[in-house]
Amino acid sequence: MAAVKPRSFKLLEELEEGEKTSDDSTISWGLVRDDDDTLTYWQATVIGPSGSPFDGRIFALSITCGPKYPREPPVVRFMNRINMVGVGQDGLLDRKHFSFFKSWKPTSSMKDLLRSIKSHMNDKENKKLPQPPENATYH
Amino acid sequence: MSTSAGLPRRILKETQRLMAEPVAGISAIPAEDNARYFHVEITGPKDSPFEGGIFKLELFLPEEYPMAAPKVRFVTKIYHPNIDKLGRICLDILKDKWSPALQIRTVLLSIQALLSAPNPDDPLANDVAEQWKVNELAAINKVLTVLDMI
Repeated sequence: MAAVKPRSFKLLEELEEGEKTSDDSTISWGLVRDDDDTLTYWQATVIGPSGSPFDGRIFALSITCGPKYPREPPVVRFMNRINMVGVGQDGLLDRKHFSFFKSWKPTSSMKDLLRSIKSHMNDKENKKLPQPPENATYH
Repeated sequence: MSTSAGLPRRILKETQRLMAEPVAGISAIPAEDNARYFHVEITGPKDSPFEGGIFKLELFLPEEYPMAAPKVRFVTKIYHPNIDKLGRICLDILKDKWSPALQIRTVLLSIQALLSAPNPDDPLANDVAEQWKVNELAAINKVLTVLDMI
């Protein structure tokens, strides 16, 4: 039986990985408040990949890891306005649209999720979508 | 107990001994659904600024244990130069000084000792350590405020 990592220690590991310099500078993540000992509220950024309609734009996201994380995936929302299939009027990512929510495992991480969002930015279905002005936000 | 299936003998032994011969001021109880995850309580040592407080911690034995150290974190808020805002502990035996000869028991005893003897020269929480060095009495007052004892 593999050791099931408790929520807090899993999230502390993810925090430490986010603090290290990474091989991929186009994604980042960390706690919103450095004293959030519930480890619930996170902020992340994704830089739009070249060749996509999001090329070079910096998108801020909020990630909420509830009490059932990592058995259940987090709730993810874009803070910057984006026109992307599967993202609702309020920036919320639709669990039914994005495959990584369905394939989520307790060993998955916010890093996996951000990488996956970035790769979805290159999907054909988004190619021709007009984009809101840069820096426009939902709230 | 189905959760102990596949649990290394070493962990089983340590758990049994922790329950049968508990250390004074320390309790460690495995979670019902995860035999590698312990709910820990340490009482503030006598004659320390933490006397009278009861501190909840959580401890997890990773897959690699005992080749890798247990993971430990304070759940109760504490004002201490070697413990940060997220409850992480700066203690050498939890990091590079870990040895498989150490046990859950020795780790918890070391944490209890850290409460008796805070070490502001090797800080994790820099602001707390600074306060501790400049004005120990004020720092101890802060401890009591966080403990809600004054």
